Amino acid sequence: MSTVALRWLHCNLFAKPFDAALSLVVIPALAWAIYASLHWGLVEARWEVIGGSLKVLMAGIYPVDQIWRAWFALAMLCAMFGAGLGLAMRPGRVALTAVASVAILIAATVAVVSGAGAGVLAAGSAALGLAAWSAVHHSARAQRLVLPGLFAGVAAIFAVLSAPGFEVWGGLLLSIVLTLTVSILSVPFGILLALGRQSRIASLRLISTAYIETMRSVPLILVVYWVWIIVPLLAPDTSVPSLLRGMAGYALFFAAYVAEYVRSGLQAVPKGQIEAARSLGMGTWTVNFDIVLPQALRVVVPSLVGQILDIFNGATLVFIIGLTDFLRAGQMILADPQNGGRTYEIYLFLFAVYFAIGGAITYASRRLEAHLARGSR
Amino acid sequence: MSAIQNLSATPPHEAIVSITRLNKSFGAFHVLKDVDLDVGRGEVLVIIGASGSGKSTLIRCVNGLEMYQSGRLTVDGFQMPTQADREIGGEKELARIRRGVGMVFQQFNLFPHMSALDNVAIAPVRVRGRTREEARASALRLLERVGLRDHADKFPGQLSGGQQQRVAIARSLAMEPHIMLFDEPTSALDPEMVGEVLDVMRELAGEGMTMMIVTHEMGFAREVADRVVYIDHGRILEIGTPAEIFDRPSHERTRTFLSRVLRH
Repeated sequence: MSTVALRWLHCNLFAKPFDAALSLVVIPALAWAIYASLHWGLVEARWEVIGGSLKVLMAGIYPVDQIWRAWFALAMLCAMFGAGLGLAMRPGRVALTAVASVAILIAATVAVVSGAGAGVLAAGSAALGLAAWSAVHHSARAQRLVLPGLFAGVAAIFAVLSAPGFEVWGGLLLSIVLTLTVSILSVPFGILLALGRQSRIASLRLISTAYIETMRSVPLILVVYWVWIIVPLLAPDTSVPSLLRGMAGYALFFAAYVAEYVRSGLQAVPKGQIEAARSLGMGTWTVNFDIVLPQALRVVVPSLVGQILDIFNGATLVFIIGLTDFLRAGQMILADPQNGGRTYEIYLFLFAVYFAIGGAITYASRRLEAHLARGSR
Repeated sequence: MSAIQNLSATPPHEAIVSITRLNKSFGAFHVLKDVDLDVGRGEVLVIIGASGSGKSTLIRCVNGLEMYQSGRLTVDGFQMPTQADREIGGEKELARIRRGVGMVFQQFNLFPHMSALDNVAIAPVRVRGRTREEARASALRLLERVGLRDHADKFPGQLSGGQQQRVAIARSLAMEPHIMLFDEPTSALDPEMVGEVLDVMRELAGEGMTMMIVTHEMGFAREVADRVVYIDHGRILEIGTPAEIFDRPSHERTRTFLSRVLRH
């Protein structure tokens, strides 16, 4: 046993003089870093600040007596995410167990911090997500319902959440709903732009190209800010909430990127497909929507899912138009003198949540890519 | 010599495709030069020639996949718009012509995201406005006719080349065309699958379908063609019955071409 260990050490850490020197420096440094982090995390850190401000981090200044609306949104989001997962990934025993145990862990933490009721609601939302995952994977009928379900879900979230007004939306909920809405809005607009860029009508081609290139050469924050300012100037009599103006800005910006992804997909469709469709007497509309787009989108779906991550990370910029997203909510808590010394705790929590969500999206995109590659020949 | 040509240049019945002094170029490259050709209703016309001679381009002009610059081309009573016409919007006319003209490609070009059945059923639904059930029922009959009823639910990727080409033929027939164009339908196939596709085409010819076929299968051409056209460098050099072209070619070039393709 010890000889095996010694040989492993020799081969991997002390094979050459340089390796040995490196190991002698890195191993103690690593050990110290781990010790220091653990000591800070377990002994010095005051994690109560997270528990105390969890509601603000998750839902911003959403009124407490209306908070069931936020829970409804969470349940819908879980169901939609589960349904999406069901399209690309088999709910195998390992995957199910992993997701379920993470969900139980989160629900238990929520129960400890915010009371048993909240814990049950969190667990229930997670269960809904797992049920949707399994249902969509196993039933072809459920699969056909995913896309309309997605639209209905977003509409329902908006209908339920909007009652106390758009101004009070905030926290992680705002970040996620914004990401989801912008992802959904930018796709159809981006597809139209991509088709416009390939159109035989010169004016359409010119406008689409100009739009795409302009958006791609300016920063996101500029577009968001600009839309936020210009809407009240164009329609002085109506007051469009900042949130909706912000979403419009994001959607207009990311549509240009969607258009470029879709264009690469359109170019991947062989010319013979269009010729075959035309030779059957199909018109431009039918050729595009029944023959070319389904094949093109298949190629770009992983990129589009990857772009959701860009939108989610870009959503941190909404603070510029006065909205309180997840990151901003964390800063708001730190602005309270009571929490003055809790900077590391808050930022570590923000980091962990962003990392978990970003990692999940990246993983989903990879799985989708593998899934689609297997399906096509 | 020219007497023989003139005799055979007249199609057996009324013309369904009528081509007069047609010229086509890709940029500076003059592909088709003053082509005159009439195809009679119910006629099987086989077009032969070396690669690059313009034979594929000629039949691609007949359903408007290629644009021509000058001359006259009427298909089934409709006049095919020239390039100049199409640039100012002659697409409506084009779609109407295409509905009556089926086309089978060398590379099959089946829609890979649809089952064989949907490949056949989609055009009648989208172009002719049939109901889904109606279109699927007749698609199933067509697949049966090409011997692929059992493969209706498979996707193109799951079918062999010969099977894909037969689905492609069924897909064209679903639009109930008056003319079928075949652009080297067996050139991309493994040798053992050529026969099954030619059988379907033979059957189609026997049912009186008007067909324009570009092919290198000389045995097949001799057997089913009413007339054979030899194209050389964008010009029709000879038209005649299979016996005239294959046994008594009047042009030296035709003779050279045939001796090259018939040797093996």
